Amino acid sequence: MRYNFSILISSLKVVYGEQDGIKTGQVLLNYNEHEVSGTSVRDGSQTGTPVLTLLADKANYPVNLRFGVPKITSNEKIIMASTFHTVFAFSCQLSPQPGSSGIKAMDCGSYKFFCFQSPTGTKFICQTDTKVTDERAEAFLEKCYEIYSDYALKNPFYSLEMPIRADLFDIHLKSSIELVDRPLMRS
Amino acid sequence: MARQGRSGETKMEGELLALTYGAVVARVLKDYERTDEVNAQLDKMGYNIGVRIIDDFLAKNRHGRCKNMQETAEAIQSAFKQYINVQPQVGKWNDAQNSFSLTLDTNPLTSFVELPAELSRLYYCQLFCGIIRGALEMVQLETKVQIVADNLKGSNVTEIRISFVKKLVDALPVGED
Amino acid sequence: MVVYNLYILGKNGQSLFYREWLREQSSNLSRDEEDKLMVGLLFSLSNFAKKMSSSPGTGVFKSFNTSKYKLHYWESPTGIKLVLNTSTDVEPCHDHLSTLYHHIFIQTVVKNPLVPLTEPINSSLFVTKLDAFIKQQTFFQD
Repeated sequence: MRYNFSILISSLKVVYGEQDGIKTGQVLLNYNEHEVSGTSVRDGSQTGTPVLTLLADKANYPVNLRFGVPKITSNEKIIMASTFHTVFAFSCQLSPQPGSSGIKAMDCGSYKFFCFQSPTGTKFICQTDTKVTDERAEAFLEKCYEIYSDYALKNPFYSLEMPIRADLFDIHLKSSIELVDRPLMRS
Repeated sequence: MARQGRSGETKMEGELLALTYGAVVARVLKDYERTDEVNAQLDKMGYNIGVRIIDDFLAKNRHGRCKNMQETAEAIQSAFKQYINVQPQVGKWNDAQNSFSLTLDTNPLTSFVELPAELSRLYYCQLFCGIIRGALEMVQLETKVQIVADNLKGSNVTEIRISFVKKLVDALPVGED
Repeated sequence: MVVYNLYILGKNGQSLFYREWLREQSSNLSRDEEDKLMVGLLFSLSNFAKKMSSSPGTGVFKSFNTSKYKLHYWESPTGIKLVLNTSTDVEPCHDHLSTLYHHIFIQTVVKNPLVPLTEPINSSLFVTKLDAFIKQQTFFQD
């Protein structure tokens, strides 16, 4: 065992010692056939057994550990949305030119990120690979705005400012994503 | 009479709209009895439609932010055309250019309606006022909207007066000017 | 194409250097407040970019644009942050910023034993070289 773990409240994360295809930033997902939830192995016992206790005992080796990208929890999604909201406001304020909008497109090396804000203040955000052009992303987000107005806002059972849980919305969103994803349409 | 449906969607018949709205008004009258209260309820229903329909209008027309009441008036005019297929006249501007009237020669909601004498204070089409007010509020314009001439009360036309109150600067989303 | 301004921020977010070439809107904030806001923006964006990436370690915030300007960002492994604001039609200049760091910042600032890397840069040699560097870029000349 040469991985360097940092123990977070929620998971065991590799922070140093990238090797054998295991990258920093990944978290421990499975211990042998058991799922790891937080820092404990779900092995049937009521509270689960702490992974580090198991790993400290030589008798348990060899072990099979599976690492992967941590899932984003809904709590984290909310935090990220509010982060973006703040950053968006900062970017207007720091503009060297008068009358600037907030962030519209962002280049993050391995992917891109786009934001469209409606005149009523709703933001539509998408993350894409680097091949997607600004124009295409903008057209897609405007399409999302249409889908939102059709299948969320016009649905009488949808409450404003609440998470959208509507199958029709999902279906139409999915098909417009497929349209963007079509390889021929890619530039 | 309703807006042209997109492909694959059925087009709503104007008569059904008129009848449905009539049924709604009759129901509200039963529930609230007092005419003032009924007007307020119709306005509230309209407002709730307005705060939603504005996004539909903006999403489908790619309409930029209006810079003055003239532009707003044109946008409302085209919205009427789009949603109920009537083209109202814009006119009677005040000197300050911030208050105008929309005049509807035909009113699809009132095709079959005759107002009984005891309901002379009912604004049958108050729903329109609520819709306009709600929609404009979502684009940060506070307005006063009222019916000043009613084709159910002897006038030839339905006239809706829209007056600018103030721009809701605090509600303006960041990055919009 | 227009170059508006440049910020250089230290490891812990302290402002090391600021220069503007053509800035049409002067901020309603003080220099100090604006630097802090910029640090906050970059810190949040870098974190955000990292979190959003599908495979760990690949999301690095490089630039963004709004309707009116484009912000280019480059950070050295030691945590020195370079921020250049230009008009939106300028091509990504991530590489230019690293060149600026390696050829000018290191040569005139880091290698100067008398300059602490936590305080504002006060070197006329650096300013002259920087100015010349920015002005020779194709995007400055158009």
